[in-house]
Amino acid sequence: MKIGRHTDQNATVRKPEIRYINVKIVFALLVFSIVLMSLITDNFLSVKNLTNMTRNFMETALLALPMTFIILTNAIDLSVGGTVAMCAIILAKINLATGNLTLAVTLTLLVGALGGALNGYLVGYKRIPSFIVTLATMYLFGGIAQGLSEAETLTGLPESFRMLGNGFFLHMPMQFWIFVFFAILFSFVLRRMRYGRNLRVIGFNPESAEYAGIHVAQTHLINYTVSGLMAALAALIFVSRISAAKSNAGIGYETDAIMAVVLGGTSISGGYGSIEGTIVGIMLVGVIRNGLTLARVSSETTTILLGMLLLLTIIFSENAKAWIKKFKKEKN
Amino acid sequence: MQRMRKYIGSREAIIAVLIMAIAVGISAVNPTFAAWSNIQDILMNVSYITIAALGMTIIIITGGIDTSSGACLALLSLVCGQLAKSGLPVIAYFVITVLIGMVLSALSGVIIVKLNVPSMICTLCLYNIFRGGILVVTGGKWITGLPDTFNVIGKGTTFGVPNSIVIMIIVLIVVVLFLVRTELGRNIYAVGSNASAARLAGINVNRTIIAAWAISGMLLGIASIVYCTRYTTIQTNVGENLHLTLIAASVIGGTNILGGSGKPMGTFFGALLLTIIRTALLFLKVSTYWDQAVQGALILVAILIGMLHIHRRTGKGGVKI
Repeated sequence: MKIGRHTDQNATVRKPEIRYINVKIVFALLVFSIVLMSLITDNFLSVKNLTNMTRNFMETALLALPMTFIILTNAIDLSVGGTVAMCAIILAKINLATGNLTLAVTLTLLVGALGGALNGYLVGYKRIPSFIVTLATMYLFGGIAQGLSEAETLTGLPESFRMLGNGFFLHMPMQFWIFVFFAILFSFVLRRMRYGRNLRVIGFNPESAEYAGIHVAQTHLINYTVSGLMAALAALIFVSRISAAKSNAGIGYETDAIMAVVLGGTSISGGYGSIEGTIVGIMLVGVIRNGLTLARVSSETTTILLGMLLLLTIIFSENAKAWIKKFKKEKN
Repeated sequence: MQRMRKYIGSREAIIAVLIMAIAVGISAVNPTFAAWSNIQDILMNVSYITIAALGMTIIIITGGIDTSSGACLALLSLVCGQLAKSGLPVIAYFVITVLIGMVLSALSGVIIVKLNVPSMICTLCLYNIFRGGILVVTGGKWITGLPDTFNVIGKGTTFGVPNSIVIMIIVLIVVVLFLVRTELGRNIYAVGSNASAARLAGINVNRTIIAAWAISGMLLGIASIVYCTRYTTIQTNVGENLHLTLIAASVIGGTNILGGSGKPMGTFFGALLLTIIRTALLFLKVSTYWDQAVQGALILVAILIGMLHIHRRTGKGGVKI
């Protein structure tokens, strides 16, 4: 039987303790990097910087929530960055053409959901591997953004729209509360609802999930549609935050979101993971990105470091159990 | 079943007909399309894409995917240019470039099979590491002042045929013979279609996959040489989105995205079709901003058509049991 690509042929049931160790390690890493960043930079722990960091990273954070659900089912969504770009351009275009912001926002959310649904339909009902579908749609959506905008920066959004990305509520940035709301919602679904349980079952074994009466294709469709919708929401926040739309909005968001999810202890081959872990992962990626920027490390070096971090995390989380087993055997 | 086999057998024929139709259509609108210089230009572009796409095809046959190939091609081109500037003899730096390509790809192969990392994620990380590394080391500066001997492949000809095209034909023949005639070639198909069965049949699965990646890296090295020797400067951002073109060429040419089947000749026709479409869009004056969207859409359509075959053949979805 062939389920995923390069799945271990002799894979046994993985024990959750190993995942727990992983989240603990990531939490320790988070504390370590916060201490490190506040030591090497002057203003890391200032209120202004923390607010800024929260603001800048909330779009990725919003994408990481549905990404957790998708990775739990042993799938992946690489197209979220492209969806953000497409939605941002469509929002600005429709707003410029009609001057009706409500219409523009509604259509943007609709386009995001439709884009996600296309992914979900191809992954779920056509059973095409998710990485290849979303790789193609990443370029399709990103390309649509590029084609529509001709690589120009679009502006002309009303002043009132800036509230979403730059406003405050209870001394915290507006988007922080949006994230908190969705984090609680996603966590509730994963912990308490049958849908959340189904995700794990599909991640462990899609065939047996099908035999157990779980509608696997429909679950994929819902997951990806939600992912597209959240990408559209992230696009709204992005456009509102910088008061302009560019076709390179959302570039690299997918890597950061995947990194946050995997760092948070969700297994890349599905089955194990939690929203709480993802939140810790988001904080870690955010702190590293912000801290390195403050320390005047070039963005290219940051890209290299984060790429290495993601690779090492996956190597560690996929092999920790086998290594520990081997270590114990040698000790005896 | 027989009709099915006939259809798959004629896949290259269908693509060839499609290519002819596009070529005739565009030539009717703009006769310069059929000019020898334009055809030669198209074939030169096809040459490096085909060589690199053959590497991608081999990887996809084993059931993997390589999204770092565009970044890797840029890296190898820059290495090749830098070595050329250091005054090494021509043969030496070409061989070194191919060897570096082989080592880098073999390394991803080792990470994938020995450390259980999905190839998609591994190469995504490597993509970031390569692209970042290039910018850090070069500082975004182009490589200029290359010696005259550097362009021996890209601009030279043999009996009036450009060297790039000659090399492409040789590589194509070698890869066809390798996949059809050698034990390793057959093992690659076996591992891709069913790894457990291959293991039970006594094939060393891990070693086969690593070897496939190493060969793909060598092909990428050759492709970089064919590509970069056409120019007198080497930019740091070359090969952007190339991995998508390579995957599209393989899939359009009939390589099964789930692994286990694929033909080098199909990949060549896939690369030719993609290049013709891109040139046709230029001739029709479609803005290049739409290039990326067209490629994304093409690959989706190609996979959907490819999947339709698999569905019909197995009577169910892509998940093999």
